[in-house]
Amino acid sequence: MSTFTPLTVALKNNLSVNTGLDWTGLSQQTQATISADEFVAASSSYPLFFTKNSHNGSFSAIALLGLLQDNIFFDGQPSHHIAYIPKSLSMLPFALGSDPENTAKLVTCINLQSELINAEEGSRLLNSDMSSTERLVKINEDFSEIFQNHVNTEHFISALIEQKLLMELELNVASSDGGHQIAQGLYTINEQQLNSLPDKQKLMFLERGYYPPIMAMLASLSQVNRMIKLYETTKHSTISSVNMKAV
Amino acid sequence: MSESIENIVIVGGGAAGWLTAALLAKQFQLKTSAMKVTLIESSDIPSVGVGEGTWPTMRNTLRKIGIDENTFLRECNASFKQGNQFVGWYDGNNDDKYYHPFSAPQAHGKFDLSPYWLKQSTESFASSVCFQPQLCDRNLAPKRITDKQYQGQANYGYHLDAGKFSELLKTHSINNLGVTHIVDTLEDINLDQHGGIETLELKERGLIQGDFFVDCTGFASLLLGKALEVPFVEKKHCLMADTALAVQIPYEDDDEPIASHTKSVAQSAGWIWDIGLINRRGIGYVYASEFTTSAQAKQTLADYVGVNVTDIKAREIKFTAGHRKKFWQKNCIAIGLSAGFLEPLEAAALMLVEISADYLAQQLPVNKSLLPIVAKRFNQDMTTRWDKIIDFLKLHYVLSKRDEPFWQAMRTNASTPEHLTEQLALWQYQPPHEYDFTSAVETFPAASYLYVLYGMNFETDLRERNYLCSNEQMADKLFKMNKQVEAQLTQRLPENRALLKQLKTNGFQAI
Repeated sequence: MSTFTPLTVALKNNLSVNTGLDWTGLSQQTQATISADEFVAASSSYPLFFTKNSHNGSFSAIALLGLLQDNIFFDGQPSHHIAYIPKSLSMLPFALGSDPENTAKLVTCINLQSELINAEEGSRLLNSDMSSTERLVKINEDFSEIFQNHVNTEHFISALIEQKLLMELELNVASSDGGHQIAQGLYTINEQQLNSLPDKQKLMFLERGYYPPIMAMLASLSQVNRMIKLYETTKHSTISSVNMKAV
Repeated sequence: MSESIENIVIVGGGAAGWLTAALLAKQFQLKTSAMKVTLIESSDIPSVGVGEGTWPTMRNTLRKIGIDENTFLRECNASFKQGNQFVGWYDGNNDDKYYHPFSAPQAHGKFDLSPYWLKQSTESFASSVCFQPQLCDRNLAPKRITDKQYQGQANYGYHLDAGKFSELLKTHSINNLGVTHIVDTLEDINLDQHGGIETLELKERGLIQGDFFVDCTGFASLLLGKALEVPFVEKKHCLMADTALAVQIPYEDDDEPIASHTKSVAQSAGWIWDIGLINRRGIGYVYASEFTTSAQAKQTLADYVGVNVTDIKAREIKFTAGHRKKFWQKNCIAIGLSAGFLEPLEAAALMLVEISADYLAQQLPVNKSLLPIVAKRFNQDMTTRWDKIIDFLKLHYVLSKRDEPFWQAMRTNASTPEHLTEQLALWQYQPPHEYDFTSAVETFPAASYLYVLYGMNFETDLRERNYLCSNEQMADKLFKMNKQVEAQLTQRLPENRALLKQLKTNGFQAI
């Protein structure tokens, strides 16, 4: 259960939050928002896609954590199935969210249900003089960096859209008991279209450093095979096949 | 040797003119071809610009000419339209209302639910077979912000500000599609030795030559009607409305719901349209002057709006229902009001512009010697279309039980087209079927007839045709499926106003 709420001064003053990764929080996510600078590292563990944000319809990049609207990589314990944790997940129980007073503004939020919250023993967010502790300063700095990376990712995605490089995929996940689920709304990069880009565009993509994340995203699709195996070994549920097709 | 057609001149710059210009320019790839499209418009002739409803076909038209849906919605103050609601058309009682939604009945074309509905109906036909009436009742949008441009979860067209629409098309046609724009006043039209148009005489520029001319001069029909003397075929005996009083009404507050359907509310001598844009409502009374006075009509409109008659500043538009005998003569085609106009019911005007302009874009021959062949076909097709539209508009009136003189006059046998009378005779014993609509240029499909017929309580006696209900299991499944889709969509879709408001800052993606 996650209840993210803006981190108000009152909350900052009252809450103590243990350090370390919020493994339970991680296990409650079905996907993680990532930025383009993370694609190469994240592609070693997760399949990466673009999806549309349900609030504003714009594209963002995600690491898919499960094939059945679940999470196959994290079960609440330290995970051995991944080599990289997306920055947005590593920040849990903190997250960036819309300010209810002004939805255009982003503020630091906290999951009040997180097991890391501990009013007694965890590390404090404010000093006795109400100034931010080193921990809170670091959290805000990290979010500032994440935000900037997301802005860069938005430019990256805009360039891909402009060149008509995004294509929608449908994942048809069949289980051995005959059932199947269809995951829609996932987008990847159209390799054929990428190859036929004019030289001028290719050069522009090279100069801007777009090729590494593009290649990482394309290569990351092979992680779906690893996920199928993980379902068998960790959840004892068998996925017989995953069929990916362009919509 | 035949003369090639490379220079097309459009006269008139309303929505009809600019939509035609854009479709031609897109088809002929003006920037890289020898073709030239010029639009001449006068700065001192205002466009009629009342037509504020479109069909779903407009989505494809806009996509084809390369306009971004977000830009279109923002710049034309447009909103989504999911169909028409008819209020008071049957008998004028309080519960007298029905929908003609844009989405077809469940499994339409594969399995006909209408006999099963006729056998045991518990709710209106439209709501039984289609989820869209519920979306309209709740003022919901047909799509979500995550849906692609021009793609909806329910079928939709638009309500738009026709003046702003013309401006958007103009800017796009000139800046992006290579249309040449001339602002000048047409003074004379010179014919060639074969009776076609040779040149136009403009007040400032003098003579303008062209190989082919498009008449978008509105009711005046200056090229096809006046210069080429193609007669006007009156249909007033059938569709008697001849005047429209149009007003623009602001919303009471910024949160007032925006209806996602056109309301058509029957009155004593006609009907009132009520269309919600993002910034205002467009309301108008279309009536037959034979059955009411201008003052009474104004009072009726004021009563509907809920204001004193002295506060109403309505624009009056006079028209005569009918169309030109031919729509394409020699080297000239009429598109828009210059081709004809019946009445605003079911918003067919812009749709006819789309169809005519697209036909021209696809079929304009390469040289003048082939013009008669294409013209003949176009005239045959369009005559059929106009007849079919007249049939369908008339259908709304002949099924009414209202007792005012206008409504009685509108349902006499003498005023009803023979083809419609025949269809109605058949439909007393069988529901409308695809076989009733076999023309390649059908304008209103069987689904539209089903919605209107059974919305207006038309009785089809199926006692001798029980075999039409031989698969009740499938029918039950489809009726239930409709309810499921309805429940899902009413949960999932945002309110029309909320989505339109969101489009100010966000937008639909192209993919």
